[in-house]
Amino acid sequence: MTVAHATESADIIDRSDTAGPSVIDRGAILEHFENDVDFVREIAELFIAACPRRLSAIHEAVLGCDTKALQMAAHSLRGSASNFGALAVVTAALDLEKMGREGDLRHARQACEKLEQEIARLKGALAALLQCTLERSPQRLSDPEEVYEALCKKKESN
Amino acid sequence: MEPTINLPDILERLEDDHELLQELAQLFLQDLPLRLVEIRDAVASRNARALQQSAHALKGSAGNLAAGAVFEVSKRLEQMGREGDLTHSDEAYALLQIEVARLTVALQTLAAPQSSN
Repeated sequence: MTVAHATESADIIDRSDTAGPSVIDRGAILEHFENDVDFVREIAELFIAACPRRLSAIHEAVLGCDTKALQMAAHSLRGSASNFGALAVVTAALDLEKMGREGDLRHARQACEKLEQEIARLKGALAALLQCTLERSPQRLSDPEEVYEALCKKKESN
Repeated sequence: MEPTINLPDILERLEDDHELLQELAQLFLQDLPLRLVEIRDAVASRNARALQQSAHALKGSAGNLAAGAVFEVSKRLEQMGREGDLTHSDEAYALLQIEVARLTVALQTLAAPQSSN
């Protein structure tokens, strides 16, 4: 990876206080997933793997003028993207969801293109996220097995 | 640590049939609330036999989806039921809830709901 690429990756991951909106917000992701670093990685990997199929479902719905299918596919993609605080994808998917609900697909193709662009950026940001080390904050128990052990011990000491 | 869902494993078993995976995931998510209620009730009423049966059912569905973590906790609950020792069944049920919440997010990430038409 070149320095320029590395810088770009850092930009799209980190919360930026001054510049434009970032693709994803690492702090918000960790908060949303309750600092469960392993789980964030799993879900990011699943999201990247599922993206092509989910996008093609939206495409097919638009091409086939299936407003109900468009509404559902866009809605569920929006839900998944919101796990990562990916505002641009959420907004683009919401536009398509509305078009499906209102049965007005006149601008659906442009909206699809927009969504595809934003998904590509999100996938890049998630791939970069998977490459860097996410720090687990020490006060949180994020391994369920540790939670179980702690609960059992607590009961025994009571 | 067990993965929430082992995607390569399940896709291999389903011979890369993504449509089938979507269907299985949807069915699992539909049945899940009822299965959890059965386990919760069995734990709350300290009914070892009911716990064994309800945990066994969830274990089977989780196994079909290569959902390792839920499979393992269900197996543990089933064993508690079989041995009639429910000392730590509350804790195991709490663990199950965590793993089920993770699995739900994972399945929703993987599978879009099917259109009815």
